[in-house]
Amino acid sequence: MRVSLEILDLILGFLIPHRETLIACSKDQVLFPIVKRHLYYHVIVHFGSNNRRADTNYPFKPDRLSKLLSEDPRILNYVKILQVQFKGDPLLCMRTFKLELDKFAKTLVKFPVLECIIITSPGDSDWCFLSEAFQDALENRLSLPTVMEIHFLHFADEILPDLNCKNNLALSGYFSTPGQFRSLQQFLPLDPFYRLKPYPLHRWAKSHIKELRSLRCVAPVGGGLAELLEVCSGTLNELDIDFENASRKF
Amino acid sequence: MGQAIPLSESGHNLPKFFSAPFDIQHLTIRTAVLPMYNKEIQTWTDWTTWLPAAAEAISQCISLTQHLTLSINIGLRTYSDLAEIDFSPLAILGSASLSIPHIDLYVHTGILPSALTRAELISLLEDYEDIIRSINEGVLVIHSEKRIPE
Repeated sequence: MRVSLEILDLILGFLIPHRETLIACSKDQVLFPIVKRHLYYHVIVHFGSNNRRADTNYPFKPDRLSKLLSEDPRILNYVKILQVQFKGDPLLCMRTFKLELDKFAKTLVKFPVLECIIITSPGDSDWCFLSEAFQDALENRLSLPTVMEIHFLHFADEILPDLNCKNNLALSGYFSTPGQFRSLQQFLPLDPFYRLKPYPLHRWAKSHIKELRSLRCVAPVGGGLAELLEVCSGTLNELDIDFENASRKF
Repeated sequence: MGQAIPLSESGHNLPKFFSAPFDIQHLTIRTAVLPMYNKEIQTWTDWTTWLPAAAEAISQCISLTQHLTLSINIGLRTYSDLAEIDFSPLAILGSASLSIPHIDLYVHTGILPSALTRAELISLLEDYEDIIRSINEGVLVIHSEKRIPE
């Protein structure tokens, strides 16, 4: 029985979440050209230490990915989901991260058809650990018309860690001063525009807030939400105010 | 356990959310009432409640939305804890129901088997005439031991 290339391609598409299987299929010389498109559909770049053998997501070290892409630039067109993750204490690894991020920024701007970008911070860190060059590159890619989904996860002391898509913005944030849950005085004020100003990424985010249709905001106890709502008052039709998850931070 | 510590008594008031006229089709507010554990004396001492914060948020949005969903997560340890919780901030739902055509109230306690029935929840709110009226009129719909569908 012969299976058409179209059907085979469709079947392999279902295997994207099962990376191990795709890797096994890619070892077949006949299948490899078809598998490749799906193998690189979701690419994870990992900064910092990682037990890559134990990680079934098969993340790339940034240098390794840059080298692979320079050897075969066609792969750039296969990548639809780019996930950037970090491991290690941001304070201890800041210098290493910045150098690697500066370098990877040049690769990042080469992805032409990204649909989803996921940035996972090394836990409770803020935007500062992302180098300016990387932020510029990220802002550049976020502006691609193909990008429809964005996740900024685990950013601390920030207003905008989760941008679920260009039309839906989930606001949540950790607070830099952990302490007594009862004492709301210890909550940092949520002031989006104060924190939106300094970084290029925030410029991008602010411009897209105007298009918001739904907004989820965790613990808007410190102000700033009114300004945010004013910006998107023309389009917003769903508002989700979440006090419950704010309490779970403590 | 001691008394609940409402948001307003902690010296912190919610800021104004809406400085301009607004029309939100669906407003969701997720709130919680959670027990607090005192490590020093190794016992549960107080409740932290976000119900006043939710009530304040609702009061600001009463004329701005067509559909309100309020979700309350109550961190009960035992069913008897329920008597210690101050549900009075929910009185706002009575006045809200005069302006908002549809209100869904989800309450979940996390206790299995289900601790809080719809009838029990209504009995906790029976002092608030407007709430009972809005339930009877079908404006306020109670979903006991359920979470908001994602």
